[in-house]
Amino acid sequence: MNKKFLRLTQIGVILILISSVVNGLFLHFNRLDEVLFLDTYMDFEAESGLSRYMYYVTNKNDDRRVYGIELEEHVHLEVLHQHEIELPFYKVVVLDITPRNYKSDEITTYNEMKLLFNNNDRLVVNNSIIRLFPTRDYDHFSWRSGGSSNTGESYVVYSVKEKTTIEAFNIPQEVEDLVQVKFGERVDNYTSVDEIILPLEVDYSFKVSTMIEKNTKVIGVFFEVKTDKGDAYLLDISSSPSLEYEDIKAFVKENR
Amino acid sequence: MYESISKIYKGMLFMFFDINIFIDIIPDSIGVFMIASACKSLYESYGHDYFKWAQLLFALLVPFAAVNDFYTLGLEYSIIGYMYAIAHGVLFSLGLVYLFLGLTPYLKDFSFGKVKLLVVLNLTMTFMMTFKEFISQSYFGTGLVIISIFGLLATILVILEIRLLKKQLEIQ
Repeated sequence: MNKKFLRLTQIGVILILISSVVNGLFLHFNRLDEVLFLDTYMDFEAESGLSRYMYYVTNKNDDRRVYGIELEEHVHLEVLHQHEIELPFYKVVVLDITPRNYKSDEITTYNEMKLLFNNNDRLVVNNSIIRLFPTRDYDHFSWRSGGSSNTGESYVVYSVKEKTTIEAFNIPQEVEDLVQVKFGERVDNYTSVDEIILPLEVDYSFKVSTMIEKNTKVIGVFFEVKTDKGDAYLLDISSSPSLEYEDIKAFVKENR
Repeated sequence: MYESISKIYKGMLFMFFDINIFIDIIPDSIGVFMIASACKSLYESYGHDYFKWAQLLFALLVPFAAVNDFYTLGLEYSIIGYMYAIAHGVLFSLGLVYLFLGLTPYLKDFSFGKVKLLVVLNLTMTFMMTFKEFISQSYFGTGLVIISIFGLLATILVILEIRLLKKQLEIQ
């Protein structure tokens, strides 16, 4: 051991101290005061057992867990599972949720919800729209196949049991500008739903394709198709948000 | 000399072994305190300023180690864990260099290369820790695991070297 090594160690220590002070300050100024919930548009159907993902961004050292989401007294969304995606500075918490004990004959819309954390913290989220639907019967169409690509496009092919007339398409107003919905009587021939002349007869199958640009909005809504056979039929439009660091960074900058 | 080296050996063992049952039952803080105490004895016996500096640095590390002993669970991302990691890296490495710089004239057969390796790995790990929030967790985790494995091996080698020295001094 010699003095030269001592000098090198001292230089190393000075570098570490400078780095920890500069990085500490940088972290301090990037720190979130409260979690940021991604804009969420989400529909659930009672007793369907359907679960969907919700997302929020928080500081890396935030180790709280969400044990439930309250929409109103006695109406809760249950968190089935929670996992985290680590990014520089932040982490994205993914909540797998489903309605608990929900029964109703009408559609109920919630523009506000309360996140319940395990340390008794409560966070009111008002950049989300949650709709709870009553249970429906799907007698006229049946799901045949579906798929999605990583470009944001997903599709579902439905079979028609007997000749059915589609009278109207209804895309939820809140997501109308975020989603491109195309409809095809034949799977290789699509038309934007805005351009279809209604009423329209379908007698074998049809395909609904949805295109959602990758962004930080969370969409999981029902697309209503009114037919001559009765009640509105519900198709599912869903997308996962982009969780790339650059997108999350832009989202944080915009919303903090 | 023998008593001081024996204390340093025991202190290193206390720091090396972590058995966590709510708290660390082989506390790092006691290990650090023993090393600081050994440095004090060496300063009183030999009067080198290097031992005085080493005593001061290890004494400063004691409170950080004590807090760490009580917060072993979920420490990785807490501010306490972060501060302990930085304090440990800086104070322990520098303290070790001062200690062995003071011992150099008295230890002819001692392998200082292993101590140097431990110091370099320790400082590298600490430097990485200051960037941990900026780097993707997977890259950071992989890099830290690799350096930690080498750091662990270097620590074992240094402990064995001190043990050997202790035995030699015992015979003398």
